[in-house]
Amino acid sequence: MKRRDFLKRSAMAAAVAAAGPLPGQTTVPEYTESAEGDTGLEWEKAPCRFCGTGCHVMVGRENGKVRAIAGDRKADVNKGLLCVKGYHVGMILYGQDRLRYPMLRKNGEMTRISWDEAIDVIADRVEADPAAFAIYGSGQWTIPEGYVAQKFMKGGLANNHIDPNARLCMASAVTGFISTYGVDEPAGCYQDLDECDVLIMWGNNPAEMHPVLFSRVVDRRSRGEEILMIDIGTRRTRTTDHCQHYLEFKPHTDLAIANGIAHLLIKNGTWDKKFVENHCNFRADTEKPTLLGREITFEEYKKLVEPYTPEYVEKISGVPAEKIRLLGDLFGQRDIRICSLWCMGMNQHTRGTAINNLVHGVHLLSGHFGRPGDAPTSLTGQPSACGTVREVGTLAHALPGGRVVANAEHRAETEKLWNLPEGRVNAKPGYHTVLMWEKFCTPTEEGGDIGTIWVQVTNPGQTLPNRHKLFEAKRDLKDKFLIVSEVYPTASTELADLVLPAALWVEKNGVYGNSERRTQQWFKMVEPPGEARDDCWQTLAVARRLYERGFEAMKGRDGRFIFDIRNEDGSEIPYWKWEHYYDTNVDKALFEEYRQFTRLKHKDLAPYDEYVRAHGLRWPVVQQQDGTWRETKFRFSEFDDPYVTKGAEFEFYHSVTKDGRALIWFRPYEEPPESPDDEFPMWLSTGRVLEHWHTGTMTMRVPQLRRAMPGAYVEMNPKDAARQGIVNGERILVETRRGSMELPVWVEGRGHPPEGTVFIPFFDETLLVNDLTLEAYDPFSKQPDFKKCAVRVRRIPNEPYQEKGLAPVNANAPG
Amino acid sequence: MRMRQVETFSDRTKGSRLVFIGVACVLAASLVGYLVGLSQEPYVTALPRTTTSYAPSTVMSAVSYSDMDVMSAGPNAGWKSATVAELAGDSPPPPVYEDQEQLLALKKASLAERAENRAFNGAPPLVPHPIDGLMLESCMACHGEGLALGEVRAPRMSHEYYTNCVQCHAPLGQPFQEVGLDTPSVFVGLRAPLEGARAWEGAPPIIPHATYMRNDCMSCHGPAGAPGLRTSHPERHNCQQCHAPSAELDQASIGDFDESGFMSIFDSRNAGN
Repeated sequence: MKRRDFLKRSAMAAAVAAAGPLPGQTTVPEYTESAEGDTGLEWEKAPCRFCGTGCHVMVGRENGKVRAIAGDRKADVNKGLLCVKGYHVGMILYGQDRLRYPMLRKNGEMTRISWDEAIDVIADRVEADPAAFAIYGSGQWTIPEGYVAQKFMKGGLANNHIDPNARLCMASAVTGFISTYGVDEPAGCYQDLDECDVLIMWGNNPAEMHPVLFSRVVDRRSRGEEILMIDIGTRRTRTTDHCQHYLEFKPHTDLAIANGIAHLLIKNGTWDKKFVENHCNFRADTEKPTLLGREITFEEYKKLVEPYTPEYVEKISGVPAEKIRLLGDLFGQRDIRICSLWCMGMNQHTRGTAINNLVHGVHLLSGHFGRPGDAPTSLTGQPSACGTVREVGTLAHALPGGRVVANAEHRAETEKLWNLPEGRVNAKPGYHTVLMWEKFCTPTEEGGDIGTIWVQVTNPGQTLPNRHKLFEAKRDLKDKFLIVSEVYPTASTELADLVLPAALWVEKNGVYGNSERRTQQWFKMVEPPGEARDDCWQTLAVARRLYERGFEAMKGRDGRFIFDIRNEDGSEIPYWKWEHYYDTNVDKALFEEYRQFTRLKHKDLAPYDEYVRAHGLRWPVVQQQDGTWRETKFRFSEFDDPYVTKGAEFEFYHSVTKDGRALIWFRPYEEPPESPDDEFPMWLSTGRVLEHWHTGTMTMRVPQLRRAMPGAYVEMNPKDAARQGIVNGERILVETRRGSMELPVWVEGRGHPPEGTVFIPFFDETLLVNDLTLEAYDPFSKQPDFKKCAVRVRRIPNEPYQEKGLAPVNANAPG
Repeated sequence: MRMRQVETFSDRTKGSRLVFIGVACVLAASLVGYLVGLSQEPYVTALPRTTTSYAPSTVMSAVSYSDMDVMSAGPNAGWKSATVAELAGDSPPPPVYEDQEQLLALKKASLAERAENRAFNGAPPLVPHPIDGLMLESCMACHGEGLALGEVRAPRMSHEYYTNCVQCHAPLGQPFQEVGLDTPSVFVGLRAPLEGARAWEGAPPIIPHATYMRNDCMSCHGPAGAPGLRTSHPERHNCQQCHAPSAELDQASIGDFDESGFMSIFDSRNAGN
């Protein structure tokens, strides 16, 4: 049915409930003849497959298929509520074009091969050049999947070329936490959202990206509570609609705003003297900035923030001085509880680490820290960015449990726990994401020393910035080999030489870790289609094949396979044979091994079986005298965290300065790497929408979600559109220095960019906005800035809309 | 699918000729199934790049009052197709004790209509009409108390008050795109049951679905509900006096007690606080 007809039908009777058949539902539905209704299903818990919120869903099964989803009422995260993606999460398994068989490109054609052959192909690539083999993984890896890949690379091949897509997503949050507190991940939890009086969103749109958490706040209002909500942003969003204040800043100038707040706290004498004296030290950049900077005194800090008067901040950021004063006054009130939220706006930023430091700093300086509701809270976009990437450490420089390859002690501990020969783990960090893909896309003879990349659980063909340079360039390099484990055809499988069909979500066992340090487990519920298999098994099978071929790197100290899993009687379990993979719970065996790593940084995990019983537990999970396991909601706060010294009130026990104190940083505002100019006069920002998750690989195959958001578009301000005579729905040309594309314009649509800014979502695989984006990245986190670059838009000659002479959109509309 | 056909045919065939026909049919069905299966083998990893198109005719321009009479698309199109008086005028009041057979037919039609607007029984329904604003007030104007004018119904919210309606209820897409409605999916959602089980003929049926998020029975079963789903006895107000909910569907289980020793069925909103 055409959309036009659809509109007609629904408008005709104003709201005849019959809305016409939905995609995939053209026939009259059958009814369950039994009177059992929904009780005919088997229900089981699982965390949602999508974002970092970590909602729990109940999965309803019948005859080996998922048939319904419900919010899990016993889950503390979501308390029974889900978002539109979560309610439809079961349908992601059933897109008709699921990948079912391993496929190898032979003479340019994709040809079905056996798993045995596929494993051989990968083992051959590894053996031919182990130093040039890389794994590109994901914050959607389960903890065991990431752990296996991590050990395979760092404990096996030892070239350290393993990095995740989370590098594009929250790497700046990690460097922000580490350089502030000496250890990664938020101190608070979602309870902060229930108890804050003021919620400040820094370049964040949780109404669409973390809707369940957003509802947790705004629904408090319908229960009669008052919450002051402030949106500090570069574009009006659905979140803005719920806020009392909207502080629109010029892209990149959020650093000036944060420094402006610090300036006012000091000028007004409203900083928390006791908290700062007892719990904080000060830092500033060295001449050549480093992650750890140099120590400064409070007096020096005062001098550094001195220039950031409200008027000066207004000049840089465009936010009126009175609004800066509003923020300064709020932070100066010690009796209210303030929670800051941020996600990609602050992280996808070439000054990402710096702005993370500054927002933590404002909370520390004002003492708005560590009481329920007083928290700087960083959100994650992937279901296990925290659990798998940050905790297992699947980054090019990291080892499990907060360790790093550069530290000799950490390497020795890791070798001991992994039972590896001394010196196996390489001290030199591998290539981070942008560098890994740059080397892969550079001819070998010109120094492109990455020859093979194995991509698991992610879609770099769509998400890498400047994808002409970092992805498409591979097309012409015949000696480079791309392996992609996937569930559907994507922009990444398009260029792949070997495609491996993967099991998805409840087609396998898994463990995820969400944004509030909560580790959550689920069991396999349905069979994957065709010959699709678990990603974890895929890596283990390659490791075993290499071991059987006598490849030394897959042998431990005693010559045993590095992924040795045994029965209680000491006999080996041949889980690398697929038919035996579920003879034992491989996830559990790997989790128990990994758990030993988690004590060093007090990120203690409980035994696997505790997670089977719970709806997730927040680490550190500490065993009590009666044998039970207790989770920790508020880290570093004496009232809740058992690792804080009694009487200290707060203690940052992994402090950079080794004295239990956190660091308050001064980081100056600096110009962005690319700003609008005469040639490219506008800002381009990119992002997500509520209905789709990341590259749409899963959600674009759910008819209900696709109907709601069928394709990408470019949001424009009505004044900018009117100036060029552009009308709503008209296709225009959008160009940056890196590429160009044609997109329909949506004025006054989902979001409302200010004059001089356009916004394009990145979910649409037919309109790849990363052809346009800039690959400039933060010097510490190596995370690229997807949120801003210079762009121009032009009408396309002979576009039919112009001839039809439709009225341009109203130039006087508010915007 | 193929398996089921085999069983059906072998059950029905007694004579040898019938057996022969049956076997032939099975073979034919198998062959067709095999070929269809072959054609669906997903060897192709190229992207489906043609799924979204942009049709000039669907461009929505701003509507002025003078244009409203002639609008052929958009939220105000057809606003004159029925007057409020017409809508409210001739429709008979909902029957109270309806003919059982007629009731069943009405119920089936209503359930079919209902199923078109959600992925499975229990999924939040989609927004079946264009929405201009996303402000809460615009949803609540009709769905706050519920509206029924003739066959036009805006059901009252079946759940307690939540602020962000479009968090769960997906709206229509952008106004200017041809939507590729045929997203190929093999998902088969749970269908609504035809009725709740009864202990014996004449006993009140149990509630065959979860009551969580569907705790206002009158949203669907009230006088403004769809034909066949309406209660036959609107004069009674305490539904669960006679119709038992399901602890399992409401996600309460035996041994799941709160601190005071009561089974924690109704406390999930505050769980963990």
